[in-house]
Amino acid sequence: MTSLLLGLRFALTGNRARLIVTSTALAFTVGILLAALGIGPALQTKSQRLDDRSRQTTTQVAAAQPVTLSTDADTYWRGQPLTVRRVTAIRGGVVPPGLHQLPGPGEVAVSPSLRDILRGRYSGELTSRVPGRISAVIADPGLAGPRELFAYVGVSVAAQRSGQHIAEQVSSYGSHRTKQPTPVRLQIAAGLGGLALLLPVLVLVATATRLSAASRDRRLSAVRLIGATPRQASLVAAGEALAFSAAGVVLGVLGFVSLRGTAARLLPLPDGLFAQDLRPNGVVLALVLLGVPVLAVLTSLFSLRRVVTSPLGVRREARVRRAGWVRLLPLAAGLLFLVEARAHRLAVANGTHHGPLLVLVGGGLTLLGLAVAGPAVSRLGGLVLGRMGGGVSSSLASERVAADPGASARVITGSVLVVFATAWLLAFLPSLKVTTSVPGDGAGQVLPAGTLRASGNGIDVTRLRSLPGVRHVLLIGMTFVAPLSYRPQDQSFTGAVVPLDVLSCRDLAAVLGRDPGCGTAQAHTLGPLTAGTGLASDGAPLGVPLQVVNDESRPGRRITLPPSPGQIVLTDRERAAGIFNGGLFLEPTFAGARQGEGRLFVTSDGSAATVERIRASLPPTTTSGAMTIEEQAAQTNRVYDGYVRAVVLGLVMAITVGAASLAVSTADSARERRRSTAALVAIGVPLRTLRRAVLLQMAAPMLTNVLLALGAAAAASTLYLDIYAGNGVARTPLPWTGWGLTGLAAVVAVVLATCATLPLVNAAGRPEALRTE
Amino acid sequence: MSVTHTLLGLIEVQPRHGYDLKRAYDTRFGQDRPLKAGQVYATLGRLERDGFVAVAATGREGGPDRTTYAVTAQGVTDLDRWFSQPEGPGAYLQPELFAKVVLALQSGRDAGAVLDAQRAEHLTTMRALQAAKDGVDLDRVLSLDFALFHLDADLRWLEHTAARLSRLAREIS
Amino acid sequence: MTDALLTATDLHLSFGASPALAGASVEVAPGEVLALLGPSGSGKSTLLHCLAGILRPDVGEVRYRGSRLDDLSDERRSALRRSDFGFVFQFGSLVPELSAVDNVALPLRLAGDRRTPARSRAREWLERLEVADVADKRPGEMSGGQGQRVAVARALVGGPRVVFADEPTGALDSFNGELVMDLLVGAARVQGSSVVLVTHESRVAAYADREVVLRDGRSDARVHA
Repeated sequence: MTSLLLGLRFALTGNRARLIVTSTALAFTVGILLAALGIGPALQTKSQRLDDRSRQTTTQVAAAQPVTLSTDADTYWRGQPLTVRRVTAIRGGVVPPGLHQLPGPGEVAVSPSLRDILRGRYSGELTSRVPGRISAVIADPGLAGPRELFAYVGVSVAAQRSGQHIAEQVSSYGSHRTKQPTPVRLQIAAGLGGLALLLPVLVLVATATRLSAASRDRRLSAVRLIGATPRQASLVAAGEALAFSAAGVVLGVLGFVSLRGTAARLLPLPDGLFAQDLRPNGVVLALVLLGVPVLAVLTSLFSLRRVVTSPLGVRREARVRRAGWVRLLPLAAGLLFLVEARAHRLAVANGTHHGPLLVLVGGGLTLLGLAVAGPAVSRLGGLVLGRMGGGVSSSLASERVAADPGASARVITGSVLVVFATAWLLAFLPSLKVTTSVPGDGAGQVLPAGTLRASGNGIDVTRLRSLPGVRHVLLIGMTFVAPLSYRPQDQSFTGAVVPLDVLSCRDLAAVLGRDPGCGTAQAHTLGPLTAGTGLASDGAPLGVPLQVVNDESRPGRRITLPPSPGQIVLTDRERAAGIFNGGLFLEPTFAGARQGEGRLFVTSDGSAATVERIRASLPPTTTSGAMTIEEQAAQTNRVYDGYVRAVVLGLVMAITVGAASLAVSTADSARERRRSTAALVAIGVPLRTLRRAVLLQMAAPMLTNVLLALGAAAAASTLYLDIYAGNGVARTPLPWTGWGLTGLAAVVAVVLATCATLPLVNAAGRPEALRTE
Repeated sequence: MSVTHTLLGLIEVQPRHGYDLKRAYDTRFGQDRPLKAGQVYATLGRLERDGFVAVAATGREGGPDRTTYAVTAQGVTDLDRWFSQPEGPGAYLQPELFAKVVLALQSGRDAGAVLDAQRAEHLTTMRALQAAKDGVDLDRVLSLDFALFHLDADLRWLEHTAARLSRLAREIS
Repeated sequence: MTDALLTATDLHLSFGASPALAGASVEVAPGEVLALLGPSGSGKSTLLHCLAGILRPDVGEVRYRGSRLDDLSDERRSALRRSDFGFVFQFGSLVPELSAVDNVALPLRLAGDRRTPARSRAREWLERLEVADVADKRPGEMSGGQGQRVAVARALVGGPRVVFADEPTGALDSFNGELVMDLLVGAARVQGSSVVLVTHESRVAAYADREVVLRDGRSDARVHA
């Protein structure tokens, strides 16, 4: 017990700077771990709340059962999705989470963010979509996140009935559906990603506890020499480490709790994150709070093991243990596991043949193997530098690396692993995009930016045209024609009923921005007709009297399609843009489709105010799908974008941690080397030579390690993609440029971080360190 | 060990008669070898003959044990010379040097200068001994080294004393 | 004395509030071996650092070969140390990560020599100082005495005009100390280098032609030849 307390004393009364740096580093570690491990539970809570809000509908309603009539009127507002539920309480109604009661007609219950907007200067844009007095604010349990825009609009029963869609009868809120399991592939990816980002954190802990190695060795050596047993010496070392980690844990938890709100605000989740949700669950919390101190103690004991066993062991050093090529074995083993998995890729992709295990172990070993191989590869870097470099600084740098390749490697391991993780993700993410994104349409390449698309009824084209900022409006209606073959007895047509688009070619030309050859024809085809048969490309007979079929499937007026319709010429892209339904379309004056109904394209100046004006002037149910092309694209890529943002965030954290380790290590070693540096300055070595030596000492091992990391990542990601390629996922090309840039960025970052510590070399060169009296 | 000069120095500090003088010497300098009374009186006689001391007062009973002697100007000059002249290397340096230092402190002279002068002398000798080691037989080297080590021991004590001079001064007075 | 190689005149220097030098003067003649003697805290190392251009005095001047040394820029003083001076310290002179040969070759490499000829000259010096057997070992792998001899070799390899030795034998036993001093002074005399030696041991000072005693940052007014 006294040994532990002695260790505690050492920690607290020793070098003040070391106490602060180590505790801060450990606090940082704890904070980051808590934040990272809190994200999972936060997402789960969010998902749970969404489930709680989902509607259980019924078609059979018991006589006295309360239900809520609900129709969706989702819309977009300035790039943000706005969810609107038009609700009516029947016999009291069922109340969704977050509210005490349903809003009545003329009332709305809104989320806090929406309330702020409705009180702000843009409220005018939303009054038609969220009409009514704000009667309540939805509480947190009813929201997906603090930034969500959500409204329950109270409407009368009559208003429900007159809407375009039939209202659902909600009998209860809350879902009991089984969760869709995340694909194994993604679980593995998340696991490996987490490991890759966790390792730099572990490196930071190890670095922080090993600070001031030489003076710690001396101190512990003194303890041993006065007669402490190895066990007692270990306890002293453990006591020291415990002191730092206790301080670190306390500071880390305090930091986490106080900065949690900021972190929650910054996380790039679409609806935001409630700060209190960001909380690791109990077991994980205990693991972190206990695990970091345990890790610190273990690292400390490991690094001091030589002194503990033989107190004079540090006096005269034996030849440093060579960092041999055997260190590359784990990396090779990891890649071999992946090769094996690839050889049986069909089975692996299906989940059999220990598939997931092989890939996970392979990936994990590769990652750890990179860390283990560090010293050997660093030593290689030093050797190459010694061979190639001619000056004093290269000799000094290469000898320093050769003298302790382990120390060189430790400083940069974090950054190297980040390079590997980044490179692997660069290869992996595009394949993810292919599977998670809803295939977009080609309209974005044809229509001008800011074009709004919608479909529905009640569209007042004249009014739209008069809105400021609107340039052109194209409404594509639809009509149905059939040959004159109506059989009243069956109330059906004997021939096929063909749907035909109805639109004004002049409007089309305005929207496309060019005249595709409209001319004066009443009917147009998109391409050549099938020769000799008199048929349009979609089977509508030309030159033959046809009957328009109205809504009730009764015959309407008769028309005859012109035998030679005009042909407009479209580019391939325009053709593929999803504007048309078929190959033949009719002018409105000729075919007469229902007014104000169909698919709408509105080009404008694209400004947010204009877009909102357009949306506000559309009837509620038509507004629902009214989105600009850009908003649509963002929507389809939402899931993928989410992954990307999470990855970027993780990388930023890992890089920060890596930079912290590096700075701490380098500063520490500059201090430890003070006397030697002062002696060198005394004999006339220029400071710039010493500074250059420090830079080269960092850059050479970094280069070799980065090359290995990129190579390993290339191999690993190729194998990984091959394994899962056949599964309906197209093989995406390897991002060579991205990899090159990543490697370059990492080396540059390390060099810059090292440069930041160079002033310490200058300080170390002062003659005060030479004073022996 | 120059008894003559030590006694003269004690008289310079304060005129004394023979018995008193012997007592002062024995207390300070003569722990293992107290002075014989005869030697004291003989020395006093010599000093008076050389003119370094003169009779200052005579006791009522008369006789040498009650005659008080005081130092003369000539005696002071002689003492000055003794103080400023370093001793050659010898086995009994320490008592001599010690006496010099103590007396110098008592008489208000610069004890540091005494030590400095001695150091310089020792070093000169040591330099010569060191140079003499060049190209001679091993047994000659050993004997030279013997002398060097002893001189080194002297100087260590000398430095030690120099560091304590201020405290020594306080104790003496 | 106008033919003095290196002179310091009335130097004063304080580290913060504590004065290290309070009026120290010394002259070094060409080829002379000079000992700076004094107890701990007397300022001998500080005086040595000022003479070598490592520290600049607050007051007073240092001249080397007639021109002012203490008012040169850091760059120039550093270059001078490279070209004209050699150094032996009590501890930690050598770069721990370099082998003995590489340590000794360092001043030559700094002067621009290529690696191979520098290393071969370094080996000659290691032979001369009787430590050829540890040529390829690192400082951590050799005894104190061997290390100091390597340090002496490094100090002398560039043919310096002045060698500064600060307690070179402080951490050694008397036999190894004597060995180091014999070799240092012997080789310096052969080359004609002056040696400025800081020590508190008289047997080491005995190797010098003369000594200057320092006390409380002041040098002895009397200079014994």
